[in-house]
Amino acid sequence: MSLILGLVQGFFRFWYDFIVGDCWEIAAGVVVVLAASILLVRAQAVPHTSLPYVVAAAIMLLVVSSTFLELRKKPAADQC
Amino acid sequence: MFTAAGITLIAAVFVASAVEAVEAFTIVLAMGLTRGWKAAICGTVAAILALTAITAVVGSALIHYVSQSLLQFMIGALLLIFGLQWLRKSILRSSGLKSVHDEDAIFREEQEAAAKAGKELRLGLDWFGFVVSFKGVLLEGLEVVFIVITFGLKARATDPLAMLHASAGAVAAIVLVVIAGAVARRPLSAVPENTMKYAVGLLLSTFGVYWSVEGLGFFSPQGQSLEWPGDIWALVGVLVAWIVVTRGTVIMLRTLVRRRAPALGSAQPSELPSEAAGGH
Repeated sequence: MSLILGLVQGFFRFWYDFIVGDCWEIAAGVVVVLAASILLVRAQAVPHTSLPYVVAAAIMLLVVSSTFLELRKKPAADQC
Repeated sequence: MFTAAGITLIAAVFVASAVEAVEAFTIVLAMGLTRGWKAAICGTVAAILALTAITAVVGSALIHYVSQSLLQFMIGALLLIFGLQWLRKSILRSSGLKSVHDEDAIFREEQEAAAKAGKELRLGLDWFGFVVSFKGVLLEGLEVVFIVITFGLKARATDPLAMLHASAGAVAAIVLVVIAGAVARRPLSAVPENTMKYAVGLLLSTFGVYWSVEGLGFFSPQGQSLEWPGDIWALVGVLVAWIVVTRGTVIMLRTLVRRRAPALGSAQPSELPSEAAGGH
């Protein structure tokens, strides 16, 4: 039983490491931005010609804000 | 013969794959030298076989059963998750908020961990060396496979040999890294990995934004891919925007880090890495 549990844990840990990596904030941020974009598309709230700029700006803002948030953390911390 | 698009595709996949190959090589080298080459090579071969099986199953399933716009959205989202993490790290390294990626240091850490690990034999192999080599090659190899499939699939519309070109770029990078590593018999720390990671981060993030926006059309009432103003030329605009945004962020962060440095005793401006994020 513990062998199966270990295999299942290892399987999910592997895919977590592969997809999410060592910075879950970025992965979560991408999911939130794209989920919000889907809602905008479904509601047809933004013209399709403007949507690329809105999504691109939101994603760039995500990266910039995540790097500035690092300033609040311990200096030289080699983590996310 | 190679077209301009084919050469660009090969170059893009080559650079991205070389970064992953350097990381995998560092892990296998550390295991080979400390735990024995038999386990390290068996782990590497097992990972390559697993990669082949995963590529055959997932690749053909994606191509045959998933609509183009949904595929664009999924690929774009994954490229964004990978690319943004690389860009973010490059920005932090360039601004002094994170130490520069050092293959020599990683190699030493891997060696120390391998030396401390107990000796457990399974199937006649040193299990620690096998598992670490297997996992390292599988993780880095999956990223290479992913890059080859995504870039190859997308470029197929304009280049019928795109998958072949993308595969050639990846294989060339891996072969070159292995040969260079075998000749040097040490981690490839001379490779400007941080600069390459910044370049690959820019590339993946650019394609990630482009494809995820196109793929959003899957969720529209029409269910068709959205189109960027300027079509394929929008890629150039997105790339330039990323360069401006990342360089601007590095400059602002460096200023803030310099102000904080005396008070916190963190990285001094003179210690700032010069290579990451195209820093000087």
